[in-house]
Amino acid sequence: MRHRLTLVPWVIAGALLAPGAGRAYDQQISSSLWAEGYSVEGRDGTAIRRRRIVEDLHLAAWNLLPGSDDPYYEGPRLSIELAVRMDTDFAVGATESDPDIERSYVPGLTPLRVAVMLGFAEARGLWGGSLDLRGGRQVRFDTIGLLGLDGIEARVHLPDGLLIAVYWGYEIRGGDLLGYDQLELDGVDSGGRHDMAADRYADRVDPEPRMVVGAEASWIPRRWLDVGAVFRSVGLSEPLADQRFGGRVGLGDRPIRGEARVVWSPMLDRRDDAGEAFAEGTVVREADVDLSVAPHEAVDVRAEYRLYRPTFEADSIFNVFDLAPQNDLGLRVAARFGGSVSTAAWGFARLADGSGGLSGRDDASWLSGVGGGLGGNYWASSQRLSARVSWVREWGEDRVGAEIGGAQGFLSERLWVGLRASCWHIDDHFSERLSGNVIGYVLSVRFRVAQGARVLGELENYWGAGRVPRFVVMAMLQLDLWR
Amino acid sequence: MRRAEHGLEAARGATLAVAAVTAFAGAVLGWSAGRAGPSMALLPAPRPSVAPVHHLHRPGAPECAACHPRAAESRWASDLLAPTMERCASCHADARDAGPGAPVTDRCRACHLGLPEGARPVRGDHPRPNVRFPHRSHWAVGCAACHPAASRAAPAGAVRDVPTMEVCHGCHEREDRASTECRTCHLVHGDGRMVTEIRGERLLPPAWLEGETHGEGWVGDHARRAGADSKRCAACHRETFCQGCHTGRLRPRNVHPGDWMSSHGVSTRMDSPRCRGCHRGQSFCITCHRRAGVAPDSPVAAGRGVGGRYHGDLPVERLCKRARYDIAACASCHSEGSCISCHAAIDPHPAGWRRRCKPLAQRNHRACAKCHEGEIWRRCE
Repeated sequence: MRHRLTLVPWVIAGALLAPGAGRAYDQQISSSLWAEGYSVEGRDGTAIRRRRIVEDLHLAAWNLLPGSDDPYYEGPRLSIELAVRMDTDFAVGATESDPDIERSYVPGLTPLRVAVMLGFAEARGLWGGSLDLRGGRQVRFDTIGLLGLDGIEARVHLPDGLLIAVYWGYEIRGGDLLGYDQLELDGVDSGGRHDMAADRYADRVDPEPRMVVGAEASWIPRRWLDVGAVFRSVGLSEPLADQRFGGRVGLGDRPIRGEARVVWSPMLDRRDDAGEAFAEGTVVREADVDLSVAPHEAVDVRAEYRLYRPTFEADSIFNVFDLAPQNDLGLRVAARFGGSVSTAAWGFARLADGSGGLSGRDDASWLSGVGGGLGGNYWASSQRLSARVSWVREWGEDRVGAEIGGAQGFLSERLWVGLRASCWHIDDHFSERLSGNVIGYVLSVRFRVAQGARVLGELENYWGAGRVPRFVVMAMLQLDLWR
Repeated sequence: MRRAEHGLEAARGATLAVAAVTAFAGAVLGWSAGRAGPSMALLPAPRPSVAPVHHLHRPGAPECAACHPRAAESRWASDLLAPTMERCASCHADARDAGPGAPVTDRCRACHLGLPEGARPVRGDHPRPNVRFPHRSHWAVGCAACHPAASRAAPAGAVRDVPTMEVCHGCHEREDRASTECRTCHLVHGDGRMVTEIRGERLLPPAWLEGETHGEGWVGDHARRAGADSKRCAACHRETFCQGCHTGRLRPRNVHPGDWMSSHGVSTRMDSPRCRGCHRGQSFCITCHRRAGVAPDSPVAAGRGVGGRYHGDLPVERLCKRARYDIAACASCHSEGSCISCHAAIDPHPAGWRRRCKPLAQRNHRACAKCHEGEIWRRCE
């Protein structure tokens, strides 16, 4: 069923793009080839090499219906997209990826992965502009967060800014053929990997596809009002269902606006009285409350509260540990000057329940972390400048430092040369070896060879913190062809 | 330890110095940048060859259409709607006699500024606007709504008499007169996304529309906005753009500071919610940590004789405290199996767990069965 779902857009695409179809449509073929090489020190000082090559290929065609490429066309639109990625690391040896060589095998490590990142057909503006349909491999983003979906989605646009969306399909998992795991629910070792030795790593192999259903209702009638509710269930069978609910409300417009968001999951506390669990906050995984004030047209001040509780897939034991949420209070001031300069200053305090340890010693504190920073950037047609400084202390560990960078365009902005310098002090309680000052730079050159063709080269060099100098080299070739 | 404290003091000093320089540079650049008016990228300023004459035609002057008759039917912003010489001559009798070879008089120069003797008037420079604007759809609104300076009795001077986006948007959204979708007015690519870079200038959502957006720190702050209204993001960004970072191709530098590979440990413990937006701990992180010998069940570390605890001599109690607040950081090295090896003896569940565990144990036996044997729900209260 699942693979049939992913085939649907390609059948449609084949019919529409068949030779002789003779329709005018916009199409894009783009390719990014990245090569990166570096070494990091392992725990015992051994050099761990990475020699990655990542190729992203993206093919798309839009406005497949006759006449829909007219700028003032108002009817339905049809499009298809396909994105494929090949990610390979030539430094991964056969001994590391062969389960039969037990002393060197690294579970989950593979030298080559090929994934379909996107593959869908989409029809927008159906039914008098009220209905959008999309089927195939896609990414959704809503109040709950990101979801990698193999399935179909329908969006209905109703009057007064009301939007209803429903979707159904399967979660994209790393173990699927041509799947990827970055958006898969976390919590079980290596997720649904199929390429591990099932007889030896049985607890790490979960071959079951996870069905997804979800719905979203959003009402944005005016700029000063925004209300939304979301539901998502990953895994339909009750024991393994990760059900999440989300809600948000935004009220007000500049100069004063307030926003609140909450995401909760009954999975975190399955007591019979769900209302009691919600009231106690044991099922709340994320919550934000923001109040923004603009004392000047170019200045924004925002006070914010964030609650975050790490949550894992329904089958993971990490959910049933004794967990306390992170509670952050923050203040942020941002200012813009003209269209080319923006600056911001921020600070936060992370609250604990009396068992925190800001100093890192055996104290009991209502604070576990504090931090702040200041940054700015300048963007002009042939110049870029940026500078950032920040300091964060949590549980006695420190990260303090600064980065300054800039780029200058030459030859009518065909050639860009950039330099970024950084200086950091790291105080890592987990490893004395990683503590200390680190200084470094990134030198980059970017050149537009022709319209739609760019090359980029970068050299990074860092030294300090009692380790040998580190180098990273990176090159990129990007081709982008439109018709 | 003294070396570390000394280093910290030095770094703080350097940080303060850079902060001061940044603030000063920002203020200077900001002062010089001035206030933004209508975008020069969208509506490049024309350089007309004639003097400002609108004020001379008011009040009691003919309607705008008398001089700009094509405006009522114009579909494109690039249509040149300025009157022709013939159009002016329909009222100005002396203009009727003007033509090639006619002497240039002061009367000519009243409109054609600085016209030399014997020269022919040249057409002004009217760069193509980079917006979609059909005058015919706006005809009923009245010219003065968008061109207020043209309707004043005083000379317009150097004012660019075109509306800002705020003026357009304010009218469009009022009583749903017209769509406020970006593509209604802005140029779009073939895929319907807005063209966001024109002649080196970036088009960003204005603050009055979206609040504080796309400025310094936006990368760390965009999830809130995108989660609330991803359709608005899609006006400029395709999913491949989002995937460029969120599905971890190569690390974006504006998120990962210098020497990230060597120094990310502290940062990820401080900021794990952000890390989890793109990285799956139990595959992306743990695989590399096994390879580096950091994860406790790393066969590589065991083979090299460096297995065992990575976090040195930190007391277990302190690690447990931190784990309560961010177990996701633990899950970047520890698989469920390695947790069980210790927590078989130390109860990891929260206080009062036995009073709450029954519904979970009955519904999802698999999670419980990783540590407990038999019908575990019978042990719940």
